[in-house]
Amino acid sequence: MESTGFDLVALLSQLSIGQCLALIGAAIAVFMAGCGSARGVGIAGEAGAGVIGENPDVFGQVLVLQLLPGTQGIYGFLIGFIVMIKLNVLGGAGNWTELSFAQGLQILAGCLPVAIVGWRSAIYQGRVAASGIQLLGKRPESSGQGISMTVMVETYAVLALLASFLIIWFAV
Amino acid sequence: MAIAEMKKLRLLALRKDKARLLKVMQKLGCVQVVEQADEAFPADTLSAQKLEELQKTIGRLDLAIARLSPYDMHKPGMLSLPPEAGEDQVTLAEAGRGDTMKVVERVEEIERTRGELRTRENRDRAQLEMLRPWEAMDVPLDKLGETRSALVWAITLPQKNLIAFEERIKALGPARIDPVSRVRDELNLLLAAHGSVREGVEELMREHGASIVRFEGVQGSAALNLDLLQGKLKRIEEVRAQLQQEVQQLAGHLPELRLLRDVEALERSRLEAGQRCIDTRSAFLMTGWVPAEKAEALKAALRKVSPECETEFLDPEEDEKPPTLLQNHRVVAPFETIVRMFSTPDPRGVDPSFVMMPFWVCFFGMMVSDAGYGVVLGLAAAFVWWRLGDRGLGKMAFILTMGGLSTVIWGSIYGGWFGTTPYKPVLDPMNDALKVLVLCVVVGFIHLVAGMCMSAYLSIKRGKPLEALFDQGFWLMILVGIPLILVNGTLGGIIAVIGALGVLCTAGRRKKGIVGKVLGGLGSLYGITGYLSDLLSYARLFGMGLATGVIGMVVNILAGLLWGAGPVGYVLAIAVLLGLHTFNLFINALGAYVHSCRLQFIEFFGKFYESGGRDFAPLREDTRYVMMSREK
Repeated sequence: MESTGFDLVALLSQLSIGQCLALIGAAIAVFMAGCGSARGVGIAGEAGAGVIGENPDVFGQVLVLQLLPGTQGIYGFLIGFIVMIKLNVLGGAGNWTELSFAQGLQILAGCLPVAIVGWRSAIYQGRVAASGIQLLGKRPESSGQGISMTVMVETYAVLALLASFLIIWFAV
Repeated sequence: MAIAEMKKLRLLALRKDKARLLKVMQKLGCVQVVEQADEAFPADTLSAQKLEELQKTIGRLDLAIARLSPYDMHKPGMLSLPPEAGEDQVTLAEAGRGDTMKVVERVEEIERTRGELRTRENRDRAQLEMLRPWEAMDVPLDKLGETRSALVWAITLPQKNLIAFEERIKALGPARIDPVSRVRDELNLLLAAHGSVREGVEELMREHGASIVRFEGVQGSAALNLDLLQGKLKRIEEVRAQLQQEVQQLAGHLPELRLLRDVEALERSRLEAGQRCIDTRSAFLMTGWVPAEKAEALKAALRKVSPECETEFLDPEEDEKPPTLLQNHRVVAPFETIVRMFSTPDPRGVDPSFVMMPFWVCFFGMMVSDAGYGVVLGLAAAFVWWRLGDRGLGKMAFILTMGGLSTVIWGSIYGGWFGTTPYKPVLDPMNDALKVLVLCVVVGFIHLVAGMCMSAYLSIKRGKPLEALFDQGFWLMILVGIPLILVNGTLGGIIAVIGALGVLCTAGRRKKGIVGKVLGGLGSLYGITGYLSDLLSYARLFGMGLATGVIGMVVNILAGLLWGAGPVGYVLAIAVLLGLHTFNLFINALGAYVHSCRLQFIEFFGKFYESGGRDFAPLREDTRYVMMSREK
């Protein structure tokens, strides 16, 4: 085969298994937490549109509630990015950090808490946010309570983020 | 940290002074009138009627204001205070009530006319749509129809049937069709035939799916009518434009409308309060709650307008629950809103605002944790606070100003400035992650201990120092003893063991029987897991701070990549920097706000808070659009 600008085989042969595992971990963290957040924000948004239809004045509070399930996606991205820093992906193709198989596995394992907890908790948080938005429609003055309840769910995403961070940070 | 002491006011005064007394109370804003019902004294129907009228007037004013507001030339901005109104303006507004209500009437009239115009327009447009296909047909529409000898019909026919239909019609003899127009697959035709073949024509029409169009009550040709309708619609548009102009002019009266609305609302509040009193023919008795420190001033003010009135201030009875009024230094006072967001404290409990405030501010700073963001947030919030004072958004702005200040301090310690680290930080959350995590848990530990001290303080204040020792003192010994083991093994161990034994012996003291007491003690000791999970909860201080820093860093890297792409890249890079940093600031400030509240509500308040109070809601000048000016 004629050599083109992009040679997949050559690129893959440059990567060790450890590096591949780490990259897979980063991808899982970003897309699972991201999908969860998209879903959670979507659930809250649907409820929000209904309530704003009846009372446009609560738009600001509804927006805050809708935004809350969005943080999990950010946490996932954050972990993915930390993996990229560890791998020195941004330093150019030739300068990647060398990772052993065990290190790669540790990074992949480290990505899982934020990926899985982020994914599920964002959806559950979206549901609580939707209920909070309904509450807002009935009693606009109780937005504080609705927001507090929604934040309870977030605790576990933050804990997962911490676990992921610590596992990855001390892997390399 | 204070919940204001309340006195129960009983006021006996002459009925003729009632209105003036209520006015004075409203001005002072320190009496919450309590509902009293006594069947021996019938309710005041006259004022009930007046109240209903007022309610209606306020509703009409609100509606007119809502209609006119979009055309307000001098719309008050979010960041400006509402106009002030003094005694003179109120008198003027009351004198000009007739004129102002005329404006309202005119607005309502215009609204009605607009509704009618809409109905007429819809009707005319529908007719226009029906006539348009027949524009080319010059037969007057009222001449269509059938007589004994002839029929002239306007019909519609599916296009695909045209050829067949035309042939069969021609075969009938004295009949013909003329095409007029086509709308999609339907043809519009004029059909003329001799009366003798009517049945044949009807039969053919049925077979080919044709139907007659009737124009009831329309005179003259379609073209003529179309012209007429166009003219009518144009007239409607003209009238509408005129009305629009008038509405814009009427919007100039908005200040009067708003003032009158508030004046009426003030009177409504007074009447509502007045209705809660017991009335006789010439006197009335009022009961209400007054903050103890305002009692003397109130008495003097009431005496001034009605020298005959009798007042007495009583302490609340054991089974009475006065409303809760939180009173704090003006630096702490805005944070009362956070406490009230959780719940209003019990009047016999404790106001946690004062103790909560430094922790709240500290946590907020740790979670936003970027000094650059702190500067931006603090300055923006300080500006809003400076404009609004303690009205409306002003309180929130003050809270965020303090939060911004704390963010600058923590950001400097962590070395975060807009996602960059310009100097070697005192504590680096990226490379000294464990140290920062420990710091967060230590801060949380202090927070928890403060919460337990509050609880102990409450017990001691109520004269139960032993309760404080049993329920908090021993626990404090455990909580302080365990970490102390790291420093001084024996001393820490002894303290912790004494504490644990203390809890074991005393926690089950209210249970019955030896077994119950022992189990109670063990169960309580198991509660140590609760403290552990509480402490871990403070790890979020680190997690949220980390999120801000890393996202800021990502933004900078992205912008850096764009910057390398030449002049277009510069513009894009600056846009990315501005947009994404703003987004990051917003989402993290929001997160820090709610998580800081959560740490107060669950971890801190959980230790001592007694909710279940009702907010003090005095008769006061609760206006919406104007600010009543304060006179001495």
